[in-house]
Amino acid sequence: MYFYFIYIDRYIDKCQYHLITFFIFIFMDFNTIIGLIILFFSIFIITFLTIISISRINKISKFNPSNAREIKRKIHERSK
Amino acid sequence: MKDQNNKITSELSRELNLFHITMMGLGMMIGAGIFIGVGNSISYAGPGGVVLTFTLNGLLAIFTAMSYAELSSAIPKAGGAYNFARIGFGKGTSFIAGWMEWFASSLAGSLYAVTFSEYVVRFFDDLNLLNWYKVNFMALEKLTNKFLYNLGILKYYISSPELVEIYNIDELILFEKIVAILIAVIFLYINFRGASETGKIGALFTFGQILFLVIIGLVGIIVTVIDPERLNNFKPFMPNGWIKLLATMGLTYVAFEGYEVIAQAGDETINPKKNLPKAILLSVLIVTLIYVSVAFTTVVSVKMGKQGVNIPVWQWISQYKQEGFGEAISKLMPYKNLGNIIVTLAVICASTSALNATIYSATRSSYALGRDRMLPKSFSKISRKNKTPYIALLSTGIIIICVALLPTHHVAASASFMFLCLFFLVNICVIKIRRDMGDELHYGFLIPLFPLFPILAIILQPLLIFELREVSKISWIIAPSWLIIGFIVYFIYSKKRIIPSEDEIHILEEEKATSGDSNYHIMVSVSNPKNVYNLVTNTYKICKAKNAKVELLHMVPVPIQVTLHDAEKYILEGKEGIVEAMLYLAPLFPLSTTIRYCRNIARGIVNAIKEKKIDMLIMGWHGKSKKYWYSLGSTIDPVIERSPCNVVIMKDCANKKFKNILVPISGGPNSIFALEIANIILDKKEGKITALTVNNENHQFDLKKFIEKQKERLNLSSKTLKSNTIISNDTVNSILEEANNYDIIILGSTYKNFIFQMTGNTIPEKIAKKYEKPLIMVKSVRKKLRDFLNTK
Repeated sequence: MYFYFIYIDRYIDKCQYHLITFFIFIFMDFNTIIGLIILFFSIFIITFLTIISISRINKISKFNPSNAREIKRKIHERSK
Repeated sequence: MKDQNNKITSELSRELNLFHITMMGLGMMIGAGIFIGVGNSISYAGPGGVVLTFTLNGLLAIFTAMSYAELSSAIPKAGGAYNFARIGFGKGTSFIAGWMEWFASSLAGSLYAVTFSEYVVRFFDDLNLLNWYKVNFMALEKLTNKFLYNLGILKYYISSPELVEIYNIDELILFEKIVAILIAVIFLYINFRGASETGKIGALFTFGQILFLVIIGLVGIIVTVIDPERLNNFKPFMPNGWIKLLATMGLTYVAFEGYEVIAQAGDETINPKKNLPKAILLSVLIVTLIYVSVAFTTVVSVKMGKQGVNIPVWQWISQYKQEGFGEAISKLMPYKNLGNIIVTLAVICASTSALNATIYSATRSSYALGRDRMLPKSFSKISRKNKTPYIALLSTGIIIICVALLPTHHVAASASFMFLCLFFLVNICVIKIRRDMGDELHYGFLIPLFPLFPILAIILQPLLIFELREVSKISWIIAPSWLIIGFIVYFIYSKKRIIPSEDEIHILEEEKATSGDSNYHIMVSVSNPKNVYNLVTNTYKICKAKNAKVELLHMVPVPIQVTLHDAEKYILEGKEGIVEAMLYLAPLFPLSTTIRYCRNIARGIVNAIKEKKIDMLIMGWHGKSKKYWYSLGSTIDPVIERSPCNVVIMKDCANKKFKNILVPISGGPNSIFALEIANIILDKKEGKITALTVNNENHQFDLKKFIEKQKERLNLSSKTLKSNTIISNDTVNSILEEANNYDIIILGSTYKNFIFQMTGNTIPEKIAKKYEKPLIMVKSVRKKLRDFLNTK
């Protein structure tokens, strides 16, 4: 039991040490704070846009088959 | 695409699904950008800047990726940016897009060749395996280096005099360039032979690379959790200021260009309207997360004051420039040599697969310019033997080799410059096309909050291009020069000669195959005009019995450098015999005829079976396998293994009457199917079928019981179906001896996968190879578990 408590005690010490290092790391440098905000915000935006975009795929249909010839004509005109 | 006069339908074989095209894009992206980008970026932007570089580049890439996703969902055809520019603006802009695409892909190819050589040479040098070169060719190296130094070029290679002494970096510049050129030439030759494999095998290869980088990313996070002091490596976060971020973003943008190749695969993708945009977006998301985690790991891979690192870690990594990633990651491994081996192997795999992909992508672009007469017609010339556009390939090769002579970061910067220009144009195209044809095109995906994201990309991309001058002034000479040359070529040469290409969106009017009255579909795959008639005659015996509808199919393999869509115009050369045979047979038999373009014949046949829901496939076999590791042939083996239908392979079955048929029986479903086929082709008046089994200590089979069951099922009399049991330990020779007394032998194939079959031939395959007379090999479709579950 004694050794068990020692183990827990050391573990808590180690955790605190980790947390303190982590927070010191963040609050020491202004550039770091801005950098981290940009980092997480960008990753969030990329993920969000990907998920939203994929969920929109195939839900949109503006197509009117009768217009196919008209599109062809336009493309031909541009190519000449 | 049906030709009413000739009664031949042509089709493109769509073989790639969402996984394959996503991997294709990822394979192109994870080529070299991350390996050389981290080391180069960290020296400009610092430890925090390198992570932000890849994050913000991912953000910018997703904006352009959405434009690509929208356009490729509306126009799912091979061509990518070249095609979008033609539809959006017309011939002039499309020429510039194609011109940029060609050069950008060639530059990326150079970059991959240079990355390959740098990592490989560094690896062998670390192991002291290049001493022979240093001893014998040092004088030549020094002479070259002196010459380069006098020209003022060498200073781009060497960052500090100390490095020259410590790492002998200057000694191997010439050697590195020789290796880069060699690897480029090897892959140019592979492309010329048309032997490049894309899709499924490439996807597995890329999956391995991704796994490697994901593990590196995870290791970085784990070591940081265990030892948070490593986060101190991020101090100072941005030592050179925020503005440097734009320059490093520009430098590493080439690492995000791979989604462009997905847009080019429109002709080969299953359900392209849905899968192309999904793959484009997913590939950018995956690659961004991987790059950010890998950049993070590189920074935290070592601790200052340990493992011989006595200066701030970011400065230590930036000493090695493009090789900084490898040096840092190898410090994470328990043994430095092990780390070197793993990193070098990963770079070899990534750079070679990306080099191969960029070569065929660049060749396609220059080939398309030649096809539309924007460049001389010779650019679209196809080699008679290999069916590859050799002039387009040669010109691409010249660019790759010339650019490979430049220092790596200039190559990377020039490639990024070109891709940024190309993507800038695509972002304008997406707005123009939506405005002009938004209500008419059939979009599978529309960009949310349009036109916000394309406009953001249009603003940011020129900024990155402008800031590239900070890291590479040479890129500001190379890329604009290429553009100026392009404009001159267009106004002097291309403008007068251009041929308006065919309808870019005729896919909208593609006909669907009509279904006949019969529910049973038989497909006959033909390749040799000499045996088509016999194959079809025998097929009709089976058709009558099954009351089936028949389709005659000829597969045309197309090298990766030619789009499947263009194959119809160029690849049929030399195939006149088979087309004539098909046309001859069409009025004689009630069948439909199809020519199908594919990358791989076996895959194309299996896909056609799945798409058309074929019940039985019939193929001819010449009797010998050219390659020793195949049992029956490189096409037949995978077809037998993967076809989700009954398969009948015929050898020398001319229009004969078969009176004596031997069917070796082992008792499985193939034996039952073999008896069924024997009953169909048997001469009904005086024909006899003999079922044969060979019993020994290892194999005991009650043939009589089996035959009684089959007699009832096939409605055969005892006179027609007889049984014969032989006791022998040599099954193959016993059957062969017995078979000499018969007109034909019908064998059931074995259910073994391809890899297992490579380890040795099975009994039916051994018999098939040795037997000289007519032969039929059959495989019946295996019912899957879900088929049983669905059966009511």
